[in-house]
Amino acid sequence: MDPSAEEKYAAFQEKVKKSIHIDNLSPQVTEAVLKSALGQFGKVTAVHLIPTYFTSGNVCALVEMESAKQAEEIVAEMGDSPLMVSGMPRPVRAQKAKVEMFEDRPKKHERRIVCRWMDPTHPSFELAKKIKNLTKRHAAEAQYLMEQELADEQKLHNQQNETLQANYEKYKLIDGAQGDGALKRLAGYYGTTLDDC
Amino acid sequence: MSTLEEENATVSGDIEFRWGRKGRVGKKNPNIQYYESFTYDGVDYFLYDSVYLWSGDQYLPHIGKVIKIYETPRLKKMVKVVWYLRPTEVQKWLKGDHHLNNELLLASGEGNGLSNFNPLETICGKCNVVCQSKDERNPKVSMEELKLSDFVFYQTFDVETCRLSEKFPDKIAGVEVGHFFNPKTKGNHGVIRKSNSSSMCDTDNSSTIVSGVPASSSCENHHSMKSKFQEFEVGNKKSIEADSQSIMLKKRPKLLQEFEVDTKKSIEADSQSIMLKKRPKLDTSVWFKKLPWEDRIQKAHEVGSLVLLENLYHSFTSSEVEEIVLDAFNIKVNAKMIQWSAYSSPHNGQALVIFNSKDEADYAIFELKTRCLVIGAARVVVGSRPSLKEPGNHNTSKYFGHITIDAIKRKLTVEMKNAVSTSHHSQPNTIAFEMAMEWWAQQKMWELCRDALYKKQAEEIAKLKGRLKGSGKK
Repeated sequence: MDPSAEEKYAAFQEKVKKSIHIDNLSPQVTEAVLKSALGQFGKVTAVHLIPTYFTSGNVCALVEMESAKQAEEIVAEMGDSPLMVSGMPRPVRAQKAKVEMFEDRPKKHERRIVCRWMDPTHPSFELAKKIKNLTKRHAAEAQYLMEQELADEQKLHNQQNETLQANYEKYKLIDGAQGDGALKRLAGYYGTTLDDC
Repeated sequence: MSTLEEENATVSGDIEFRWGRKGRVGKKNPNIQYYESFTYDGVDYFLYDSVYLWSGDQYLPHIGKVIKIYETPRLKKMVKVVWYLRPTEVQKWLKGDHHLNNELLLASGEGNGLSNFNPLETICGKCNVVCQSKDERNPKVSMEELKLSDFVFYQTFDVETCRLSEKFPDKIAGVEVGHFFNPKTKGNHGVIRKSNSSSMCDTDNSSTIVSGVPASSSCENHHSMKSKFQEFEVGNKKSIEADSQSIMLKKRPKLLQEFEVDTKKSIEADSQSIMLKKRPKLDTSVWFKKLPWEDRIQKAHEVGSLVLLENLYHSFTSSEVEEIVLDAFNIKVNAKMIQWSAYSSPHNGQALVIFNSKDEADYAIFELKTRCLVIGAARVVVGSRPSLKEPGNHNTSKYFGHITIDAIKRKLTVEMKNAVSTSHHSQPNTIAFEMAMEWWAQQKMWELCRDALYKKQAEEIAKLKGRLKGSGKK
């Protein structure tokens, strides 16, 4: 009656294959928005926004499609041309889902997790301590990297914003000039003809 | 060979059994004596009780409603149960419906999976199942009763058509549906002492695990269970080895020693106490409906009982983390593995653990700091207090890359705004596309940076790991 652990896990693996992990999402994205966004490419079975607990968390989601094939195609397409959700121009990033990305996952198989306490009297204690410190250091390094990346993103955002606004102003100017006939008068003044602008 | 040659278990002195009120005799075979109640291992069971049943090869006990109790001419004690199905058991036909943690489905209809005849000895405890159906024949339950319940159900699963339904037929397995609804008079037998039932199941669990080889018949729905005293005839050491389900390796050597030295009676007691810890699943705290994780984590963070464990294996599941904490600290906790994201380090699996109090959290962190908890070959667990983001701050978390032109925004009609707000697949000849390319380029660069960092970290870890494996004894 009860599906065996292997069956459960196999079913879960199927689900993983059909799923896409999407990140670089804006915090304003909702599940419904994602569903309609990806619904253009295929049939979406489920959308699940992954909760972020830590500061500077990257908003990401797991989307389950109807079939593994659809999932693969979407990942490939999103790699070729940018998909923007809930705003432009930053595209979202998609990759194939992995088992560890899922929240409630079944155990792969009944396995023995061997854990033991090591007292300071143990000969390898110093080494174990070093490993602990290394882990902490690595975590700090990764954190630093993330902060740098965030700073970079901010720079790019500001830069693009400036450029865009400036360009917009320019176009507005030209449009305005066209609108109130100034261009025509200028053309006449300089003796050039005005092509249809 | 059937396990039920134990005749009256009171003879062996292991499991006490007594018949209760007699019912009728069989219609077709007057040698069959029906009963309305019995006492088994100190617990009174009545007809139409919901019970746990255990068979040697299951991970969780089954839950069923007893609709017949009888003794065959050969003095075999049998019960007929209608099954309560766990949603996970019939996932195939449910198509992703949402079910509560403690929800069950009552089997109905006809065919395989509706009910079974089982030896009475497969029963390992009473279960408090409450019916929440809105059917007018079903008495409503109070909040208190709901809180005390182990499980709830409000739907039936027809085993023939494999469909869920909120409608209850008039009869299930030939029994009036009224017996499946909540009892009209709240008698004592409806409510059970939780600890009693869980310890019941644990003892039986230990007995089945020690025996190793269940005597199950060919039919997949028929369950059988080894009686307690029989398995001690089987080689004890051998059966422990055969057990591949146990996770508490640390406890195992202790068990072995015990078997060599003690008498059979004390082995029972010891295995009972050890196995008790092993079965947090049957603990009552799991059965109450819980707040969603975000709320619980915030609360724990405020109280100070939230701990971040690092350097775990990414492949761990949340329940495995809980078991590790149980094994290492003897504290029952709730844990959640942080889901792997694009930024996660492949070497560092993290989990958030909610302890029951600030003191417990302090204790755990202190222990992890002063001593070393080693998992597997060389993963030394690091514990710390995490810094979480403020709740409800979703709009202010930094996100860069969405740019708008305010002037245009004002001119947009509502429709246009809605259209833009979902998604946009850019064409190569737009400004947006070029800007997107800039984002992609930056993203790619950082991805490469991260990969390089993790690679370097992997090398550093491997070096230390090698030294640990080489020098230390396992």
